[in-house]
Order: sequence, then C-alpha cells, then structure tokens
Amino acid sequence: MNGMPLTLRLALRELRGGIRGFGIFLACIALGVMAIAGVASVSRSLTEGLAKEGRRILGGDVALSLVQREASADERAFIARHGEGASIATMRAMAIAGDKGSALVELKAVDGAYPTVGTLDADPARPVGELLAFRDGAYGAVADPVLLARLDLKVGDRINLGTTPLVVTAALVSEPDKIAAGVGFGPRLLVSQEALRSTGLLQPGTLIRWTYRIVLPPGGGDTALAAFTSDAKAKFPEAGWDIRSRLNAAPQFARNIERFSQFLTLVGLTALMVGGVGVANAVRAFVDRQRPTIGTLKSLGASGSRVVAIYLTQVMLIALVGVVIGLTLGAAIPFLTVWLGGSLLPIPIDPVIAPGELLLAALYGVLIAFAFGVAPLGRAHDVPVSALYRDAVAPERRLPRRRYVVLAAAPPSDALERGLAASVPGSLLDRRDDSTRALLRVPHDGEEHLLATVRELHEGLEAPVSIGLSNVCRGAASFAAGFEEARHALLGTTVLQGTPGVMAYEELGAYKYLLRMPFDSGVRDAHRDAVARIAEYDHQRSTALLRTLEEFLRRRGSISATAEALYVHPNTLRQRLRRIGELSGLDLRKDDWLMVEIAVKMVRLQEALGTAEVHTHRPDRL
Amino acid sequence: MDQRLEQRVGAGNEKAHDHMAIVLDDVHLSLGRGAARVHILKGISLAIPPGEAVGLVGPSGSGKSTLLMTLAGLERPDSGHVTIAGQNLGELDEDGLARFRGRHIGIVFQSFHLVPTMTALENVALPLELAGEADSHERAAAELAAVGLADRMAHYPAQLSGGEQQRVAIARAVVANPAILVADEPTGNLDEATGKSIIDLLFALKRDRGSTLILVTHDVTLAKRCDRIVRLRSGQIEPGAAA
Repeated sequence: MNGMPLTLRLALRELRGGIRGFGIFLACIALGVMAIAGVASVSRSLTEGLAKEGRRILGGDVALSLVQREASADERAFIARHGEGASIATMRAMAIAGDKGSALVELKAVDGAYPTVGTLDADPARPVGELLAFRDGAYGAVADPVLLARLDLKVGDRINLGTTPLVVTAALVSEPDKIAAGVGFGPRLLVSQEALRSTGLLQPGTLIRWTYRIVLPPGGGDTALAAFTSDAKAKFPEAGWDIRSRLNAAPQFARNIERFSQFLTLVGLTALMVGGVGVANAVRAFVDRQRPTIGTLKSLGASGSRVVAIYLTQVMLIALVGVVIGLTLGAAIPFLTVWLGGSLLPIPIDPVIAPGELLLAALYGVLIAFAFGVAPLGRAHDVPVSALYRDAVAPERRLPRRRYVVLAAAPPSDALERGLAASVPGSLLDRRDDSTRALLRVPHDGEEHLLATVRELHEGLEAPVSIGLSNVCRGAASFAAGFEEARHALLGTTVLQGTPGVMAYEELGAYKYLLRMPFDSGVRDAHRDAVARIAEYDHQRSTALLRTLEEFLRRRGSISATAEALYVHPNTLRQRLRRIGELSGLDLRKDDWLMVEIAVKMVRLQEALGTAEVHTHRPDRL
Repeated sequence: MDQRLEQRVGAGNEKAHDHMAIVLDDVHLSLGRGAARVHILKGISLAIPPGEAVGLVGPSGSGKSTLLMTLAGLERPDSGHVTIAGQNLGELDEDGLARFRGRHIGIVFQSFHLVPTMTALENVALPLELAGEADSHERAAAELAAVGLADRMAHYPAQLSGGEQQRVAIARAVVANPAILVADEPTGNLDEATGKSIIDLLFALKRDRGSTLILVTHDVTLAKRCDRIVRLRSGQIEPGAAA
C-alpha cells in the first residue's frame, strides 16, 4: 500500500469505514449505467442476431430484386451460373371470401425452390410444394392466421384471388424471411407462382416486385459476395435491380434498431443526469459528515486541494462500484431477455457482451459522478479547522438569545411609537385605546443604552406620557412576567415621581413587593391607619406632612439631612414632626420604623392607584 | 515591530522578537456573521520565547480556544500579526499555512480527533505522510512506543480507551518534531488519574524536545506547572497576568 500515491492511499483508508450513506448515490449511478449499458447491449445483440441470421432472413446470400418486371433470360442465365437460385414475387392484392367479405393481403408467390434457406412452419406441417399444389380445381394457399380470423376462414375453405379460386391448405406459423420484407400492410398469403400467373393480376403496370435469391457455392465468403455484386452491376448496368446481401439483409430493421437504441440511450442518459442530483446531495451530506476528519487532516498539514483530492478519489471509487453494478446488470439484460422469452421474440437476438458499448456506459457513469460530485466536494476545500473546536467555541460564537424589555406607556402616544420604531430596531408595538405596549429588542450594547434611548425619546415628547420598563426578558416564557413588571413600573412613575416620567422596574425598590399585594386584604393595621390620617390631613389642608415623614424615614432620622432635602429650616421640620405625632398618634422614638415606612408606602400606593385611574386607567387592563 | 508592541510585551528590541517562538501583535478577531458577529479577541499582544510552557487560562467564553487557534495558524486574525518561528502567518496562503502547520505546529485536541478509519499507527504517521516523509511508519511506530502504546499500533481509535486515544493524539502531535505544541484542554475528556499521566507525558515530551508548549486549561493546578500563566478575560489579556 505504501507504493500507492498518498491521495489514493488515504482515500482507501477512509473507505474502510464502509460506504454507509452512499445507498442513493450507488443506486443513481448503478441504475443510470444499467439503463445505458442495457440498451446498448440489447441493440448490439439484435444487430449481431441480424448479421448472423442474415442468410435466413434474406433467403440466400444475395437477393436481386426488380420492380414491375421479371428477369430476362440473360439475367436468369447469369444468376444460374453463380449458384442455386429461387425467385419470389410480392405484391398487394385483395382476397375475396364470398359473402364473408374481402381483405387486403401481402401476396407472396414462390417457386419450387422456396425456401432456399431455413424452413417454413405451417399448420398442418407439410412440405411447401404439397401445400401450394393444384388439386381439385384449385391452387393451395397458406394464410396468416390474422387473415383467417378476419375473413372467418378455416383450413379447407376457399377464397378467390383475382379470377382464380384458392383453397386454404394451412395456417402460416412462421416464414424464415419475414423481417427482410419490412412493414406489411396486410396479412401474408403464400401461393405458388403458377397460381399467381393464373389470377390475371400480372398485367403491365402491376405493382409487383420480383426477387431472385441466390445461394452462392459454399466457401466463397464475403469476397465471393462482393465479386458477385460487382459482376452483376458490371454485366447488367441497365437492369435497375436492387442488390442486397446477407450482410445487410434488413436495412430498414437495422435502422430502426439504431434509432431505438439512440432514443433509449438518451432516456438512460437523462435518468443518469437526474440521478446526478442524488449524487450531488449524497456527496454534500458526505462532506458534512466528514467535517471533523477534514478538519483533522487540515490541522495535520493537509492542504485544501489535498483534502479535495482525497475525497474526490473516495467518491470516484464508490462511483466505480456503482458503475460495475450497473454494467453487470446492463450486460445481463440481453441474456435475460433470451432466457425469459427468446422463442417468443419475432426478431433474431444473439446475446453478446459488447465491450465498446459497456465502456461508453461506464464513461457516462464516471463523468456524471464527477460532474455532480466535484462541486459539493469543493466545500471540503473550505472546511475550517476551527470546525474541530466547535464544541469549545460554540458558546462564544452562538448568538445570545434575543433579549427584550417590555415597555408600557400611558396614555398612548404616536410620537413615542414612531420614535421607538426608529431608534429601537426589531421592536414590536401594540397600540391599545388607553396605552401602548411594546417589546423592545435589547441592542448589543446593553439594556442601559436602551433605557437611555427611551429616556431621550421621553424628553422629546410634547404631551406627557408615563413609561414603565420591565427587566430584561429572554424567550417567550418570560414575557408574561415582563408585562407585569412594565405595568408595575408604569404605576411606579405615579407613586414615586408624581409626574409622568420613565421608570425601570428595578427602580421601584420596595414597591416591587408592595405592588404585588392585594390592597383590600382586610388586614387592619394601626400604622397604616395612622399614616392614612396624615394623608387625609394633607389633602384637606394642602400640607406636606406625609412627604416630610417619608423623607425623615429615608434620611434615617437625620434632622439636618431631611431639612436640607425638603428646603425647610430644621425648626420647621421639628414642628412638622410634632404635628405628625399629634395627628396620627405615632411615636417615632418608640414605633418600629420599618412598619411605619411600609405603612407610608402602602398609603402612597393607594393614593397613586386612586389617581392612576385618571392617568393610566385601571392598571390591570394594560 | 512597532513601538506600541515593544512597550506592551516589554520585549526589549527587534532582535529579541526574532528569537521568539510566537509573537502576536495587536491581534483582533471576530467570529460569526452579520448580527451574530462577535468580537472575540480584542487586541492581543503576546511574545513567547522558545521552550517556554505557557498556561492559557480564563473563564468560559474569554477567548482561550480562539487565541489558541489563532496562534496555531488555524484562524486568521482580522487585524494584527501572528509570527511563528520568524514566519508571519499572514504572508502564507491557505495551502502554505497547512504545510507550515504540518512542519512546525503539533496540536492536541480535547476530543482527540483521531481519524476513526485509521489505525493508531496510521494516525500517528499521518502528519509525516502529508509532509512527504519516506520513513513515516517507522517513526510513527517509535513515537507510539515512546508513549507506551507499542502493542496498540494496529488498533483503531474505537478499540482504544480515552487515555490511549489521547496518547495516540499526543504521539501524532509530536511525531514531526514541531517547535510548537498546542494543547486545548487535553485532559478535559479524561478522568483525573488518566489526565495526570497525560499531562506528565506532555510535559516530559516538551522537556525532552525543547518545544514551546501552549496549554489551554481550566485547571489552575495544571496551569501552575507552566512557566507562565496568561489570563484572558473578555478577549483581552488581564494586565499583569501575563508575567
């Protein structure tokens, strides 16, 4: 194996894995090649049969035929000098069977020497001379069974040909020289030449062909044949006879075989071409399967062209297997034909192995495999070695699952929708009566950029719109939570900002939890009631005690920080805190600040939901 | 060699770089197409002297394998230069690069990547055959014996254990005596004991032949056996980590 070229060596090693996955490939090549090889082999076998049976078909070695006239005495003497001769006359005539009607027949009138080669089979089987003899006032005739059926005749019945009565002495089974006559227009009727002459059909101008068949002395071979032909032409240049030899006994039939085989070869070639698509697909799948090995070979120093050569060699070797299968089947077809029904065939077939035709079929197969295989194999050239690292690299290469942020905005705004469509590509918008919802695709530079984009859009809006944004959603399953988050964030704009703005779900802080609680849960809470009293007071007096409490808690009880945040004097703050204590009964020195803070947020939320009815309508309808 | 690189890799002068086994100069590489295109290597500069063992560590997705591919000439950078044994890989066409790899670089994969239809001996002989060496089978046999697989030469990969397959892969990587040996998580598919013996083998071969070894690993202990650890994060070498 070491003596082989490296490419072939590697291809053969690779083939040790078997030809799994190449079933269709093999079938395409094998069937196409079989079709072409089969057609060519049958055609060749027929031609061979024709050549071998030429003498029988022609009824001799040479046949000279004349139209509308018989041979002259000189001509007959010439024929007699060269060998044994026999003559037949053929013409079309009407056979009349009295009341049963008449039919066009291909009349063949023979002399006593017929058939010079081969035998005439008739039913009943009797010598030709006996079948055609004049007996009981009528000549004998042998009729094709088709004629008997057409005129409802049986052996022994009489028919008329011209003015002469004939008696049907037998049904024709087969005549040795049938193919030489070519296509006939009616069934055969065989009579003697005496009978023909008595019919009165032989008149000047009758369309009749006289054929003189000569059996040359044995041992002359093809040279004697050629000598006779040229002699006949030279001696009787004016005779006008058509000379046929056993070598082209049935030229018309031979031409038909040629045409049929050309046509069927074309069909086979078309099948092979269509199979080429299968070949291309199989090779493409093969290259895909071989990616790891291709990558390995390349990583070890094999060039792209080397890899293509290795795999092309493999594909061609597999194609050769298909070709051999196809050739074997194709070459067997003529033999199978003869074995299955040779005796039933009306044509001579001599099954042969035709090397030239088989070689051509093989060539077609190989060319198709090459032509359709080479393009997909070209892909092997470009398989990157990094394919080997796919496992390692895929997580880096894989596109991160598309990420979305849900947006809820109220009231609906055309300007916002236009802005989103333009600046956040790939987003989906859903316009409702009272709100706009959107799935915003998170850009590659992250959700912070998306948030910034939305804020920018919001600032540019003329009419006030509140916008809530969910956390990032990955996949459809997380969208439901995303819509809920966006809805809560939208509420948060009212609770926390008081004015229409943009709020992300994360900015809700503790409200994330409070928003998920049912407000009318019936839980009675002293802190909540206390804070509610402050809110009520604020409403009535337009004070800001609740805001003061909120800020004080947020600043962890720092007087200075709270006063600064509220822009009031520390003394004012102290005064307000006292007022809060009096109104609500809260004692900020003793009470649990967490409870107070929750109570403040709950009341805020309740207030917001009350006003949200105005701004955003019912949030659960978003 | 530009000045930036000089500063970044701190390699002194041009001559010093000429003696480097591997020099990467501001290498950028993106993979994928269109929207899926991901910028993986973001300006990697690295100089590795001959005979050094470098452990390439970093979290998943930090670009270790991609960097390995780039410095083994398996991926072409979008920009920047990769010079191996004095040869700028950008100057080679695909076939030239393949031949260069065959001669100078031995690769050990995590998943072994032996050709399943070839025996152990044929697998090991492959790089030599592709390089047109006449005594490929003899040398391959010697190499297999050196990794302790003298009695497994006629076995196909499917008939070998994971450890044996990786030994075959290592024999294949070193058979052509490459100056540079790259190994991508060579023990990733092996149990601990087998993994250790494989690593011992790899380091022994490196020591005996004086090859440069680049080892991608998640295993810090393993990385510590190297002369130097290069840490990658988000496609960049962590500052101070390449020492």
